[in-house]
This record gives sequence, structure tokens and C-alpha cells, in this order.
Amino acid sequence: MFDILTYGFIQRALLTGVIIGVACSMLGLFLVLRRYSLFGDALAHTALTGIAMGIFLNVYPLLIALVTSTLASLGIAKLRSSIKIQGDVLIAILLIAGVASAVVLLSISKSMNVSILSYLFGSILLISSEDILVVLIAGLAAIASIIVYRDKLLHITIDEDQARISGISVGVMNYFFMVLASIIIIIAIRLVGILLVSSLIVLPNVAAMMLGAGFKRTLLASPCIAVASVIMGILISYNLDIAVSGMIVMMNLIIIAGIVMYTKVRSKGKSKDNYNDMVVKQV
Amino acid sequence: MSILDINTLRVVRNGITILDGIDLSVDESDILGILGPNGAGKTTLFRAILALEKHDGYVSIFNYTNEDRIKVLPFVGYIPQRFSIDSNFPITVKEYVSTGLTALKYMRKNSALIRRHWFSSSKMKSDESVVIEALNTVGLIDLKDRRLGVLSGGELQRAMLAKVLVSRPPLLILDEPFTALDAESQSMLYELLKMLNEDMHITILIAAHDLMLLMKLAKSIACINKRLYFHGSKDECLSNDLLLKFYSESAMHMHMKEHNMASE
Repeated sequence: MFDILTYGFIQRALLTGVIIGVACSMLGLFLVLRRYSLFGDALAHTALTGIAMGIFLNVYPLLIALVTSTLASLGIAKLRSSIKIQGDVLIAILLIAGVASAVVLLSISKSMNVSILSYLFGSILLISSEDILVVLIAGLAAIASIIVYRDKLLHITIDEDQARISGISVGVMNYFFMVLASIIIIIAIRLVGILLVSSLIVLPNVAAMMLGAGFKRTLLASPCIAVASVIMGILISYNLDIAVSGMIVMMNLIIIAGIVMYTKVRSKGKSKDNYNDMVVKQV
Repeated sequence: MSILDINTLRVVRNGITILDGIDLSVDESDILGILGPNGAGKTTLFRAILALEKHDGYVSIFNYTNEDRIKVLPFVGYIPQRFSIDSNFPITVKEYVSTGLTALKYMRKNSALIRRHWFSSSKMKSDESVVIEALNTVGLIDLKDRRLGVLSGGELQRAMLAKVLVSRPPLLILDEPFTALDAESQSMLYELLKMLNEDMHITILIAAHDLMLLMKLAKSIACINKRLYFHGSKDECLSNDLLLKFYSESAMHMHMKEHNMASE
């Protein structure tokens, strides 16, 4: 089984997959805590508009996608602070607008074909050396900036007013965070496709938040869970000839199920211990 | 020497005037109690002071006026009336209190901005010891590894106070800090605030419903209900019958009655 690790395309898939998994899970912790779980989905769908434009104009589609989703995310940040629209409504509008304009563009250019499928469902095994370079640079830069700014991001996530009083430029940080989110989501489209991007953002964090009490531990556990599911997903899907993106998400779900069972069993054990303690004390 | 100056402050939100013509000045080491019924604009006043609310007029903190005061805001500790956090937000009490280090770092870096005796950066304790000390001060050291979201209302209030105490800000603003507390926590907070003011010369601005506690704690009083009705020493306030009539139906007056009945 392990000789598949010597294949160049598997190595490339694992390398880029791990970087994307780590970046998405770390970004995702802040998105989930700010109740922006579906934000990734909305951005990915607006990226579809960019991809359609790229195909239409014959330019590298992910580049245009980066522009459209960055504009969309900055738009969300702006609208959120200027008009009183609920976050989830804003995300719903963005999601629909993204798909609708993409469908219109694709049908005009008559390119509703196979190539769009690779963007919808991901195609990490077919990643080109061009793509790898983009993922490496953008992914590592994104991970580094989350690590550097984690305290400020946490502060803003807990309470924007308090962050502002403490001397953090909340407005600037929010815009920066949105741009960061767009970049990470665009590179994640390569791995799992537009339709499953939010799985990389949400699932590892759901799992990690069930594990430990603290922020530091969660911020460490979530990328570990992401990496485990990406590696297992890629290897299993190659061996069984199943679509990679689906398998990665399935692995993630299995980990969550495992943690749920583990915590249930543990809390049962604990309450038994407590009961025994009480009995002993009474005796 | 006044630490906070407010002149002709006016706040209008969605066409409704919330505060109008407020003039206040708070001297160093003062404890100014802000009295007023619900909806009088106490919270809005605090938010306007902290530049979290758009306003007309002038607000100076440590002699920095209006936009200029943004750079000295980290020298102000603010404990809002309401703070809620999801019970499964992954953050421990200690990690939350540590977020107070942001302000402390800013204060150390920019200590030249304000007068020396308002903030001395000479005592360079380690981050860890500052946080532990703050947790000890509010009596939350045993809960430091708990998730913040599982704390009770009173414990959360103490955690907020610990977070602010990490940086020992020369000006402390508290919005109805007693409301969520039981009697025991109330007296603990009371002693703590008194200690901060007496031993560390921290200037305190505090809003409250509970007239008894406020009267015990405050050195001067301001009565606000959209406008400023009174600003002076505590004794002047207590002897002013007219003033109490202004609030005839307010919770404050009812507290006063209870107080009188209890003492008779």
C-alpha cells in the first residue's frame, strides 16, 4: 500500500492537501466562532463567478476567482458595518448571486462542460506544478499571518469593542481577515472543490472544540484533525478509486463521530467515578 | 487635575436624542457615581466617552481631545453591563484574562503619552505573573482552567474585572457592575473597587441602580436622564430634595424609600 507514496502525483497531492487543510482549519476556527460558518461557502460560490469569467476570457480562472471573492468578502465587511443586515442573510444573498452570475456567464460562453466539474468537486490528484507553487506561497503566507495575528483575531472574536479600546485597529484587522479568507478559500477549491470548501473550514473545528477547554489547544488540535483526514482521505480514495474530495470529508465526519462517542463514554465513566466517590464518602 | 473632561456632549441615534448638553469633569482619584433610571443614557454616555458611539461636543481623556483620545483608550479599563459568550467557545478563564495583556503591552510601549504618575511602567513583571495576580485578586484562581462560557454571571463579571486589572488602567469605567451579582459578590466587588481607588489611585466612573451601594462607594455623584441634572459631591446630592423628586418614579427613589424604611 505504501509504495503509492513514491508516486509524484500522490506526493504533490499530499503536500498541497496538508497545507490547504491546515490553512482552512485555522481560518475556520475564527469563522466558526464569529458565527460565519457558511461564509466560506458564500465566498467559494462567488469564486465560481470568477472561474466562469476566467474560462470566458481565457485567463487563469483561479486568479479571476481570487479577485471576485476578495471583492465579495470586502463587500460583506463593508455592508456588515454600514447597514443592519443579519450576517446569515448577507451570506445567502452572496451565495445565490455567485452561482447565478456564474451560470449566466457559463451559458453565454457555452462552456458548461467537464472543466467546471473539477472546480465544483476538486481535483487534487491532477494538480499542476503552477498550482502547487500558488498553493505553497499563498497557503504558507496565510498560515504564518494567522499565527502572527492570532491574539488580535481572538480578541476581536470575543468582543470587538474591547479589542478597539485595547488599541487594536479592528477595522483594518477585519478587512485583512476577509482578504486572508478569500485567498485560503480559493486555494482550497483545488483540493475539495467549491461545493465542499466549508467542510474544511467547519468540520475540523467542530471536532477540535469538542476536545479541549482552551483556545490554544483548539487552535493546535484543529489543524491536526484536518491533516489526518486529508492524508487518510487521499490515500484511501486512491486505493479504492473513489473521489478524493468526498473521501476527505467522510474521514472528517468519522473523526467527529469518534470524538462524540469518546466524550460520551468518558463523561459516563466520570459520572460513575463521582457516584462511587460519593458512596465512599457517605460510608 | 482632571482625567476626564466632557463638554456639551450630544448623542443622537436614528433621529432620537439620547444625550444632550452633558458637561462633566472627573478629577484624579475620584469615584464618580452616575445615577439615572433605565434608558437615561448611562451606557451611551460611557460608549461615547470611549469613542464607540458617534457624538457631538468634546471628550478629553488624559488631556487628549476627540479623535486624539483614540491613542490613550488602552489606558482606560471598561467593564460593560452585558457581556455574553457561548458556552462552547473554546477559551479558558486564564486565556480570557490574558487578553488584557494587549492593553498592558500598549501601555508599556506608549507610557510617554500620559503623565508619569498615572501609569508607571517601571514594575516590569512577567506576563504570566501579572495574569495570575489578577486572577488571585478577583478570587478566580481555582477556576482558571475552566471554560469561560460555563461561569456564572457573577464569576463572568469577576473575570472581566480580572482582564481589566491585568493592565491596571488609571481610569476604570464600570457599567452597572452590581446588577448581576449576589450580595456576597457585591460586597467583594465593593471592597475591591475601594482598594483600587485608595491604594492604586485608580479613578473610577461607575453607573448603578443601587443607590445604597453607590452612595457608600462614590465620592461624587452625577444624575443623568438624557441631560445632566446634578453633578457635585455626595453630601450635596443627598440633601437635594428637588433632585430626588426628578426621579420620583425611578428605581432609584424606590431604593431610597427602602433605605429610609430600613433605617427607621
